[in-house]
Amino acid sequence: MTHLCAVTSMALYVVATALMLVQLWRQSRAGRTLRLAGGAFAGALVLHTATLAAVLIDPRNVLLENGADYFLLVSWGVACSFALLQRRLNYPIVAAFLIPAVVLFMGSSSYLLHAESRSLLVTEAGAQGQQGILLSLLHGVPALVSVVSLALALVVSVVFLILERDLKARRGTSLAFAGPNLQVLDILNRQLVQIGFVAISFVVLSGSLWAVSQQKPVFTADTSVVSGLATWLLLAGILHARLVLKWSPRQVSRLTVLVTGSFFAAIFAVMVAAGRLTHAELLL
Amino acid sequence: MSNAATARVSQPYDPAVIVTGVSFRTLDVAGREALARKVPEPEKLALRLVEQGLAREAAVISTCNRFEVLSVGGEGGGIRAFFEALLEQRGAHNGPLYQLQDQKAVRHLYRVSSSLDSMVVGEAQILGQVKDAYQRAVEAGSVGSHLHHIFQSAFTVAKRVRAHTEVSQHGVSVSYVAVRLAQQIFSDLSGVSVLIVGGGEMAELAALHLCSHGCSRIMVANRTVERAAQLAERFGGVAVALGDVARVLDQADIVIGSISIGRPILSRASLQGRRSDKPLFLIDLGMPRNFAPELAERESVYLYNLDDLAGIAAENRALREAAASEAELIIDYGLVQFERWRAKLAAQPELLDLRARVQAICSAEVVRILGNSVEAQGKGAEQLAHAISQKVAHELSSLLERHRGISPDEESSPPFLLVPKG
Repeated sequence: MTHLCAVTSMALYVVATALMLVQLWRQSRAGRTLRLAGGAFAGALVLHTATLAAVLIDPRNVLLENGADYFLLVSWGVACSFALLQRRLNYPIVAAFLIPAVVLFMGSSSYLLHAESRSLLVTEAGAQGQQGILLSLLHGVPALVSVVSLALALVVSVVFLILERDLKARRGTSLAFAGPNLQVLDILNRQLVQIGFVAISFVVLSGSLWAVSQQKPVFTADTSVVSGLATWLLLAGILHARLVLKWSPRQVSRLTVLVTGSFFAAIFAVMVAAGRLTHAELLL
Repeated sequence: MSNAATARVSQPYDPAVIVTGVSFRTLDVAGREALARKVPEPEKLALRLVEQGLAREAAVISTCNRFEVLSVGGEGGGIRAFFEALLEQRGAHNGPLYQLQDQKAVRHLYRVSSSLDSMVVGEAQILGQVKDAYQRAVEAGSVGSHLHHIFQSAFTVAKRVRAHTEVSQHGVSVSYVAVRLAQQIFSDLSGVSVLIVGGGEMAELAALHLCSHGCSRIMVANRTVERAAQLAERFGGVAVALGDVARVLDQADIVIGSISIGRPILSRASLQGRRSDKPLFLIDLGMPRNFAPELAERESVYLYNLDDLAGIAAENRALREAAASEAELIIDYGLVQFERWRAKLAAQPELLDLRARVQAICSAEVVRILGNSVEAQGKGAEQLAHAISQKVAHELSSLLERHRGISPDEESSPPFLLVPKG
């Protein structure tokens, strides 16, 4: 039942993307197609939420520690952020990039492929007890926020580059008028990177404190630790380029696309190369 | 649908609906101006036509692009002669005057109200002007139930066209396109500084459009400081000497160039000290060009010259015209609904007669069967007869309407347009 829910949700996301693309092709921000797309997205989000709830109440899983579930949660976070940002991002061009990102994260969640996937910590005796809800909240939630911010920043930057290219090329009727204005996208990109940076800094700090308190090594070659530090460095780099080096919005967007794209590509590549889809089980 | 509708309604209307007039297509601006001067109060003209018996109802639509009389009842010839006298072109066969009758006249009003017959297709003012013409005719007392319905249906059709098509969605003037581009670059135009270099008419118009969209910080630079000060005062801005343009450039977000000068006033070197994270929108309306073309390659600089803006405006015009074909479908549907209303109106006397006859038969039968005891039965027998007659008459009326193709329940919006676009 959970599996059916997830697959239906993904199918609805795909339908919403297709409808948004049709609307984009028609160069319009209103109409029946957009309403249908909105309906498909809302339906998908409801099913997505149901899937996530079913997975999280499963006693075999530990909140935020199972890599597969974590990706399901990230995809849900991206979808919810989009729903919350509708006022500023209610454009087919944004949705046409953002919803596929949701599908990509959701599809990569190993839960969909391996119903028996287990948490790394569940397999380690006693680890589950040490985890606790508090740590999940202090460590896992900010980590989720940072990854969702990174994914959103990637999409926003891609849309910015497309629209900016069109405006530079002086093509008025095509994509130039199809999206939000450049300054809004640039400000949003900056805010997302700032939120992500604060969140990931908190993740690194809380993780280190937890490791010290448990007399464990602060750094291990675990993907979650490595990817956490990599995220911190990437976000710091983007912020430095913007705030200190005063790069232009186009340059910052290019950098954002490059680093966030590489980050997600690396994670997916590691998963594929290792022949597994549960990244928490991977040791670099 | 259009063919079906047209086929069904090819018979002449009774009373006739007639549009007589001139427009920008048939008469030049001087002629229209002269006509408007001769008739300063169009509603009085409408009333005069009614009082003289040339029409039962009349209204005059007088705008800068057209002067038309919409009349119901009467002979078209009388109004034509009246108009020819106004135009001083009595008997001219190829004159500017046109006359449309019945369905063509209603369709014409629908097209005019929907801005499909405007000089700039999709312009927003015409619907307000038609409403105004109707209102003034109502106040003058020259509008009856027929014209009232024709105008109301025209307003409904025009609203549908605006809501369901993109006829009015794309800007078609150079200054409007400039504003739309500025809106795509800057999140809030109220915080944007505009520098106008030169005192050209187009620059003034673009600045006016930007001001109407919230731009409040205006700087004007010109060869003559007096002219700059004059313009600056108009926009509530400040005047700057032409030599100081480089100095104030850092403060500007939008620069409009409209000065006749042999060399570009802005080059790569002019922007050397400018931060690359601050967008700059350059609108070059000068001839020869005021801004060096290589500026477009700079980070965060968006350079549009007159040709670019005119090109976008032309593309938008083409988009509007493409959307106009969708609008024609809505107009066809409006005509179908108008025909239904007419058919219902035409059938009304017969239906009333039918009801009266059924009621008479029922009452007669009650008297025949109950005889002298009708009075003894009191009002109950009469009420029973009345109720039966009403029910039978209603059934017969519905049957008759169906037989004549008059739908009792008219859809409020076309079945092919269930969700509005805007």
